[in-house]
Amino acid sequence: MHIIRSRRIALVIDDTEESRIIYSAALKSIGFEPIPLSEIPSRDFFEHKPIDLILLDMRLGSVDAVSRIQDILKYCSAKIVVMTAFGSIDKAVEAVRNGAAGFFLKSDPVDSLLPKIKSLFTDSTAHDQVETFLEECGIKGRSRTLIDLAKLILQVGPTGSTILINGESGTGKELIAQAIHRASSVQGPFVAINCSAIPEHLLESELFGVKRGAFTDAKQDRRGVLDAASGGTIFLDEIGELQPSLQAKLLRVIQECEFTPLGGTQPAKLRARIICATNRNLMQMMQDQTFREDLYYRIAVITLRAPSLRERLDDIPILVEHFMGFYNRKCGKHLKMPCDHDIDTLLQYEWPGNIRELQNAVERAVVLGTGERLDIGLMLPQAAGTTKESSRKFTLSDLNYKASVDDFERSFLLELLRAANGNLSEAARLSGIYRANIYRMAKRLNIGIGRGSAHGKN
Amino acid sequence: MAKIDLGIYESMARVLRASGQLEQLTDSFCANNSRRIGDLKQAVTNNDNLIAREIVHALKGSCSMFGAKSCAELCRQIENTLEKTPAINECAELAFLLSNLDIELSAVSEFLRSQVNQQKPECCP
Repeated sequence: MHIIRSRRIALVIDDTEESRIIYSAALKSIGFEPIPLSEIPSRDFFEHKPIDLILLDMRLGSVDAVSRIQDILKYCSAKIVVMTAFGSIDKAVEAVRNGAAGFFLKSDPVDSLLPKIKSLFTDSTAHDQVETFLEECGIKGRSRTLIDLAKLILQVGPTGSTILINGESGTGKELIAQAIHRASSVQGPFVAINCSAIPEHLLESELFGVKRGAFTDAKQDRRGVLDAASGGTIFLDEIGELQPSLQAKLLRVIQECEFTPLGGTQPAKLRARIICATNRNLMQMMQDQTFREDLYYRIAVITLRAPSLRERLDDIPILVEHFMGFYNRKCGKHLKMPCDHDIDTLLQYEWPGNIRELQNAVERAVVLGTGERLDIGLMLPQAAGTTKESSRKFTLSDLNYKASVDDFERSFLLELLRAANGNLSEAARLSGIYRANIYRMAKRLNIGIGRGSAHGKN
Repeated sequence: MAKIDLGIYESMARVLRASGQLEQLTDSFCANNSRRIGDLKQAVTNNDNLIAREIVHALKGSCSMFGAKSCAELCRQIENTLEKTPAINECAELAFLLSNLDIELSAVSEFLRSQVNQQKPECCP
């Protein structure tokens, strides 16, 4: 277990004595020196005592602490984590917007707070850089999954290696490719091409370019994307759809680092990095002999996985707010965020179409909405009966052991909870697993047990 | 039988046992919430909506941390009722919820005390 070495000072500001005792003890256990307080101290206090962390209850008696965050940050550089009882997620999101580093639900196990706190202080400079990088790339969210992915992108970006991005449809694979391009600091352009959107006979000329006279309609030279991306990055989306003949030609390009335009005789140097993406299982395709093994190992020097929206539930409120703002401006509307209960419903939904589906749902709700808040009835007209508890099935995840175990556990737990009608005690009795262990497994896999018990985490 | 989420309770108890504060905290929870429920009833009788909301919010947070979900849910319902009710001292629904919360809180306190007593070495009184 990683222990923070230096004695950092933390304020635990809460008007209830129990909170102050619990969270002070928790912070002490990871090396902080806690100072319990029942109200926000004066500016003078902050100026005389360097504070590293503030655990701040969102409501202190009649004081709305969220509205004070920006003030506190004017004269203090502490990380602020707001705490709330359940049912105030929209307020917690507002706190993060006001500058809080995160939020924590008092209804979550107290020891789940500790990794969050530690991560804030484990190379906090790097953490800030990652968040700034995500902002610059237009990638919305602050979930652990996303931060980990961004760290990986920053690590692999400058290497120039060929990268394969795996992920379900709608997970933002092109945005990830653009982020890699940005992290590489190359000066050339980012050129994307979708291998499934262009007929095979045209794709070849799109990729390699055409010399005048190559065929009847080729009246002049035309550059292909391999040339257009010179000094930059070529993004080949849906690489799994590439026909065998083109797979062989692409393999040669990558091996030789050169290509010959259609109708040309002189090969040109490839001066661009290649990033590919797919939602297909290329391992399976290799076994079925529909995708070349040698090409796979050329394009998958580094493999990144674009997480599904189900794996970054914490980002849903942020994404909803982002898309809602965008469509509000576009439509001249002023709809507000859905209420907590409705956010819970959004977190329960499976989102098989991932971020793209969420974006479309928000657009529909803004365009058709007539109320004060975003109407999730308009967002999820198809959602009845398709919460993740009811629709997820067990699949092997690209033969990755841990992902496959997770898949199995998820599938097992969903079946178990269904058999137990959602009753944890009954589930424990049926399975012979301790109730607390079922609870932990559900939390880890983001499976809701009853309403509001497994989401809203930061 | 009190409805406690054992996952949440155990998580908290682990931290507090390590610092030797579980008993102190349990005592605080029982004493403070017994006082809070009395104050809450008094605030309702006095038709003091603002004070009532402050108390019930504190109760909700305290119960949430201990995994007392049914208590926290009752607190949430009371908060909602307080928000929409002008004359809280005449609200039958509120009286009903308060009565349920009182009963549930007593059960939770009893459960928490029994947990602490189980942990005590046998030589302790």
